[in-house]
Amino acid sequence: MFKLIKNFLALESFYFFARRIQKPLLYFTLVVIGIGLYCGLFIAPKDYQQGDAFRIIYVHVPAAWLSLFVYIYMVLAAFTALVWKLKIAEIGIKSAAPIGFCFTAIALVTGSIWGKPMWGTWWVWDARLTSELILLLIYGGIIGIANSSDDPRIGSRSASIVTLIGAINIPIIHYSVEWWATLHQGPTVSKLDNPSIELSMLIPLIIMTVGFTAYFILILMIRMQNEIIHYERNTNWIRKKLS
Amino acid sequence: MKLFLTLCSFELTRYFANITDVLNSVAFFALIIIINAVAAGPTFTENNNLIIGSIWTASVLSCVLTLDLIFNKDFREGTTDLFILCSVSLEILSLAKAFSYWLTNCLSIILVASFTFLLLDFQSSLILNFLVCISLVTLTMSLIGVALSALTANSKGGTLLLTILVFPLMIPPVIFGTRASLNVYNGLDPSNELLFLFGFFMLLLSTLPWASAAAIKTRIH
Repeated sequence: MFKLIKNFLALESFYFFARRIQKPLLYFTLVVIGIGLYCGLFIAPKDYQQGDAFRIIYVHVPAAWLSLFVYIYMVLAAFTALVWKLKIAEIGIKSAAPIGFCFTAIALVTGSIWGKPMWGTWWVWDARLTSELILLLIYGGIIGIANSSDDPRIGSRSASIVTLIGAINIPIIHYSVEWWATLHQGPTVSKLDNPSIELSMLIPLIIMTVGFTAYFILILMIRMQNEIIHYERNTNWIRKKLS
Repeated sequence: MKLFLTLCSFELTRYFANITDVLNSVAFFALIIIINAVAAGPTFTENNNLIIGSIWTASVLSCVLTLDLIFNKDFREGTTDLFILCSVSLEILSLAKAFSYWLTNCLSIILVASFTFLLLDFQSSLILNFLVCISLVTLTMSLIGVALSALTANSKGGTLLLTILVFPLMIPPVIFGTRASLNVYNGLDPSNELLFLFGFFMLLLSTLPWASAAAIKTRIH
């Protein structure tokens, strides 16, 4: 069993696995995001206060969810990379950081587009906005350190250490900033037993979140393939493949 | 413990040999205050919140900007390689580095900052409280800084990358530190903020030496 997992996580077999699931994953993502967009834009009812403007939620919330999800994934990968010294985990962390950065940026931009008509301003020094911005900077630092060395392994291992140090800090940053100032609306989805969002609005949101997560995995697989080629550029199987 | 003291005295000797680096950061601190005063105009001395905020900003900034002193020279000269060869415990090494960095760079800035408060006629309770808070904040910062400067020493990006990495992690202590100063200024009780700062420092003291040791090992084979 252990050997099976180890074989699967070897760079060569993972490369071919990623290549194989790339197409099905692409179709799955397109279909789910298509359905989610259709439901969100045409079927879900208007909000009684915000009108049609609230529909940006179907991009904003999945992006914000992914900005945290990618970080959690990176913490797990960093732990694996440091404890078991798995190359595939190092590659995973290095390829995921720019994706997390992009999702955080999307969440911030859509949030400020939404904030302009609703709050009357592009930006407020509100708890969630500020902690999202700090998360963006942490992602930036991780990307920087992952590319700071000529040896890609040293870069990725440094990035995993930074990710773990950040993981100690992120909950503290979140709560201290929340205590510092807040204006953002409270969580509406996570109160699962009694959500304060109408079911017909919630279902497209969940579909979109699933679609965005699938999209993240798709991009991650593509980036990891590239990174594997870079890591293994001196081995026989890559030479055979590229020639 | 003996190893810790030996390493500390070694580090301190090196800092005092290059005392200009320390003095530079003090000059940098003064410059930030002056620029704040110039930019805010004549109302600067009337707006005490602004003064407290800018002294905090200046102290944290000038402590962060010299963090690359901790490892840059060591890696270039090969001192750290020698420590690894002699199998010196890297956790204790990083603790000693953090402490001696704090004792030279941070402490001199803290003293100058408190002196600035004194010059601007703030009450002594605020200055005492500021001394305790900024000491906790900068101790926390030197712990984080040792780990991150080991990672960024002699790399592409260097100092700027180090600053980008350290600042986001420094936001909670800075929030609570400034809040404590403002509380004292407004006659409120700052003990909750102090407890938080102390707890945060203890949390990092118990976890970060291992991260620093891993960082040193990563950068040196």
